[in-house]
Amino acid sequence: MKGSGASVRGGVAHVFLAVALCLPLVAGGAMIGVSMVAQDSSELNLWLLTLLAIVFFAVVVWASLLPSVRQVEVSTARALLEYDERALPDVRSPRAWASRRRGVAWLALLVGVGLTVAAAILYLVPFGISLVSFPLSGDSTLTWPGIGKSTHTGSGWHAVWLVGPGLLALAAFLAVLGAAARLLIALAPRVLGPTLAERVGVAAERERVLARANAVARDLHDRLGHTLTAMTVQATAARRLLPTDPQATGRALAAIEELGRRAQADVDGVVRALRDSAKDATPLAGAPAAVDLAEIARALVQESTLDIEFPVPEALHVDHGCAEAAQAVIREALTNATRHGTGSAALRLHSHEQHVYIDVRNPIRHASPTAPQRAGLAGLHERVLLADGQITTGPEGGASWLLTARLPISRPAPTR
Amino acid sequence: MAADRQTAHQPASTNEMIRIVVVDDDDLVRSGLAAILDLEPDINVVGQGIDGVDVPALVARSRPDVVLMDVRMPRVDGIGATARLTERPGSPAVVVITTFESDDAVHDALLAGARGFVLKRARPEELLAAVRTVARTDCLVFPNAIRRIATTRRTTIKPAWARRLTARERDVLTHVARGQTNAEIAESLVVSVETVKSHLRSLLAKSGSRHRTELVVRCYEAGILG
Repeated sequence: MKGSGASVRGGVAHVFLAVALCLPLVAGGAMIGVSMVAQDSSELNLWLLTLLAIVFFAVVVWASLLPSVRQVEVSTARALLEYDERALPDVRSPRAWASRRRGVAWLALLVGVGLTVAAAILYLVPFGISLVSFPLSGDSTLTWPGIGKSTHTGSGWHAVWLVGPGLLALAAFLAVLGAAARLLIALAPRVLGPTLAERVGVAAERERVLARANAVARDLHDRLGHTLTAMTVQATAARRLLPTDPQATGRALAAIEELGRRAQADVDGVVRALRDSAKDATPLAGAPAAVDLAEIARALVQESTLDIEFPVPEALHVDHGCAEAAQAVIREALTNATRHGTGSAALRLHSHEQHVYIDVRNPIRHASPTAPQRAGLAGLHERVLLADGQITTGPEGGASWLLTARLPISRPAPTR
Repeated sequence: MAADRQTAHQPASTNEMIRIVVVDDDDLVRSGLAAILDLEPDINVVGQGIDGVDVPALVARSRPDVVLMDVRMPRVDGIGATARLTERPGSPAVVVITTFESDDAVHDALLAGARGFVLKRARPEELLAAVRTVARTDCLVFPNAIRRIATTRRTTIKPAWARRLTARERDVLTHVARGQTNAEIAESLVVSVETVKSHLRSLLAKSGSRHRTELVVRCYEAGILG
């Protein structure tokens, strides 16, 4: 709880701000009020003054309902009352009426506190000072401020007892000030804190952030975990093979080298994902979030029941759009090869001048493809065209089917 | 050797070669593990597979004593392959290999009949110890690791068989869970090895377990073991 000296000092500062805030209201209200009760006001004057009072009131209400009121109040309260973002989070929907109502409520509280403390300053402070200093004044009759009654007290030492009530009045002022500060501190989170909708929004946001962090952690755990495990196993093998089989040791070391690259790529991917989640919610449109197409192809080959000849290329980083299109191409080609082929296929994947090239060649039983295959290929053509690529399919010789596709590795961000 | 139902397969005696197959879809892990194992004078890698699908044919062809089996594989995973393998009498002992210790699949594989599990990144000494333990003895492989995996999966309802265990059976169980051999248990409890075996038979029958690993996992789950 905010009971420390430091924050009470901040509370006092906020109370003085409240006093300053209520002064224009007091001044404006007093001016209009005094003019209205003045004896010499004509009918017309009275009407004009009423109109002025209405306008003044309307302006005050309009100004207090401005969306920015609560935002200013929140940042002021955070700075002076030393609340953190959890107790007083940023205003998420300042235009919502629930938010504006809270802004007005806090403003009214500030004005109320300001008026009270102003009254205390104007009455208790001069009163206390005059009592304390009375014995030194040489007067022998005290005129009580505010009441107008006089008391004969005697002068000098006879009036020393007045110092007591004087100090009491000053202490009362300090007590009012302290109570006002504590009141603001205690009420700020309740009056100014998040609305129900904002709390729900904050919770949802937190959930999204957590889910994103979880996804990144899972990704790191899975991908890097597998790569490091393979690396460890190969390193163990290399160490044990070293005395007896230099060639096998060399192969293990080459594997470790390759796995090191893979681990680096995994880490890069995770760091990129973290940066993306640090930037707003979603990766920026068209941001080059690279994916390793070689890895995707390898997974597809593993999934397939075909006997596939696939020389795995080195990591082939392409953007998401390209990867998705390429994945569709490879999957469709392998599916067709399974359906119409003889159980084997050859997949080639390489890149050249900002394009990836996919070749899938498979032996076929019949020279012409059947209708469903053509339908699938039509969809694929469309897909590849959308990715700014090219695709050709057709029989090659009498007993073989060839699909070749070319896709740009990355495309400029789409304009929105 | 009828104490454990699963051990229709005879553990290799200490001077016999241990025949082993390694099944893992990651080429580098599989070849690395095979190389490490093959260097041992008493271990012979007689086959390698890249998916659970390959396991029945691989085992029929190469007749291993031990199968080192990855839990996660694309077509048939280690759990399915282990279950299929261990349902037949005379099947080789399965040791599951895993990248992640917290993997739920490891637990499922133990209930599917695997004798134990080893982390793929384990030191070679641990890997070899696990292989030799399952090939040459009936004992638990890494009892503490099994305890860690099984105690996180406590069931809320105690199965009926858990209440039918005798005090003596519980004593035997406690020692089995520590990874002791029948002879060691007999010595601790001051009974004959035959008595220990008879208690074990009863424990396996009551819990419906194939072997002591499964028995211990089920007992941890049921809250009989701490």
